[in-house]
Amino acid sequence: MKNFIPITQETFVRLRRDRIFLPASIAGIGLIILSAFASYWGVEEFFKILYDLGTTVYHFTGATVAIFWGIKIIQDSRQEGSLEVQLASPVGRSEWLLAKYTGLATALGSLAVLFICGWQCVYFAYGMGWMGWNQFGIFALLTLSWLVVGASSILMSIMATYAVALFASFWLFAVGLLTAPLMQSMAPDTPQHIRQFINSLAGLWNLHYFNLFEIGANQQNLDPGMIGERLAYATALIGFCLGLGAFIFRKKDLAN
Amino acid sequence: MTDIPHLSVRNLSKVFATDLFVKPHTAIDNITCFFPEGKCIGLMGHNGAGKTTTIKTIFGLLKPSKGEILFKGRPLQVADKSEIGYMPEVNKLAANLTCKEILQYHMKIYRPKGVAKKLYPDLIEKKLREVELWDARHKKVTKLSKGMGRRLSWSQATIHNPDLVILDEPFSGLDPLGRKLMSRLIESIRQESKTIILCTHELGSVNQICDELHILQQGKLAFSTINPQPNQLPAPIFSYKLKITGIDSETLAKIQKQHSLPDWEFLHTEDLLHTLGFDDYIHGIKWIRCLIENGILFTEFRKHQGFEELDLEQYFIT
Repeated sequence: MKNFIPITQETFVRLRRDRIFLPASIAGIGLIILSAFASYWGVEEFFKILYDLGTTVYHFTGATVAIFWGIKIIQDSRQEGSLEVQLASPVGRSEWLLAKYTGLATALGSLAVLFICGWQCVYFAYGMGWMGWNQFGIFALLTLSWLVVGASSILMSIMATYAVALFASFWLFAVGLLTAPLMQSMAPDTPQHIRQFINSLAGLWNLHYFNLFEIGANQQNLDPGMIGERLAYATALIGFCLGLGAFIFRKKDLAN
Repeated sequence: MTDIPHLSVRNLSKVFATDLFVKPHTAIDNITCFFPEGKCIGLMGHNGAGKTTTIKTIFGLLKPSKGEILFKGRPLQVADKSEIGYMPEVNKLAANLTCKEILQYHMKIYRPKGVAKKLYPDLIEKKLREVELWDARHKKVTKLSKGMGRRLSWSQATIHNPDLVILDEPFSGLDPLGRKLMSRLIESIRQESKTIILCTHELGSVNQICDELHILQQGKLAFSTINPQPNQLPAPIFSYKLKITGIDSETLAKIQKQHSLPDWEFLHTEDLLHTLGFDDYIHGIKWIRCLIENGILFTEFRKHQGFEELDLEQYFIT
């Protein structure tokens, strides 16, 4: 794993220079500020609206960027052929893939820092001072969901072409967001087998699980157990996606 | 220098079977060739002959269907690739990095033995000056011309001072000046007794540079030679001879005209025995079919093989 750091650095530099980075940062921060305005107009439920809208914006913007970048880092390397040159060097395929993911995670991390700074500005603007650990925790957990989406996009882009991978990743993201609300809103007379299917799907792939906006809206404290559960869930999903991705990647012919 | 080849390719085959409903395609078929240390070996063939597939299989980018690749007598491992330099057939460089960053990345990956990290910037500068890209060091790859990209690919393949350099079409897309520079660069590493595998269509370069030559044809190794010299390449000539008896020359000509049969390449007539020569098997078969239909006797249809000496260009075209 000696080459892990150079590949991670290379990926980070390339993503940082990517055309999506700046628009995504501006759009994300802009939308967070807009959600702050919206919450100001609904005075009575200030925190509810602030966190409801703010976390949704944070979740969607980051996940969308994670999908684009997750696919881009694999497909661009494949299309421009740098993948060929890099793997003709003393770099193992799994190592390359893992380092690429780490580069993606680092770039998403820097985007998260920018968004959190935007959120902190909203706090200052409303005279609420510095964010507490609870608020920071809510966004850190949401960032975990970006990392999960990024890993799933990498898996898709290893298996499929650019367009198919993009479509499949967005579809997976949408399913991940919908399973839990679907499970909760099922009518009592829903057939048992459908109920069981939705329950197991929501147990396996539930991106809504990372969005703890109620904690922020109700000004509650984050429970360490809650954080641990989500951390373990995210680790399992990322591990599964990258493990399967690495397995497929090792078996594949890499020629464009 | 040892007797063990620097790189050996043994019984290598690659079959592409991408789709269940598409017939598998054999890109390389049971190739065995050896690349001795310190030699420059040319790998030639028409487009689609299997040169690039062979190279990609050597690097593990394509999984071989059969056979093995040995590096210094043992199976090639990932770590061994640090001793190999690779210049692909087209510029395959990370798009939004600069020339300098690309070489920096490669130095970090290859970590050449005996070179301290603090010397990396000097080495990069030397390499970029060598290929006349120092002034363009901060240019992104997307802003480079094709020729500049080829030169950067060269730098990338050789910056870690590898013992074995694999060059896939190094001259493609270069103007005469660029070709001259590239020839000079290849010659410089040849002087250092590096092993070079040169895949090219540049017949002149093969004559000038290569110590050995392997020619691939439709995925098979058609021919190998040591010290390829102009006008000394034996090319096999295949011909098919058909012996017809019982008819005179006039009837033979009449039959040909009547049934629009293909022309023969040569004709030898002795009494009523005619020996017709064809260079195409199908032509012979058309004749045989007609003879059978008309009840004319033929005594023999045989393939003959001979050799003629061709120069490299004629050989390549043939």
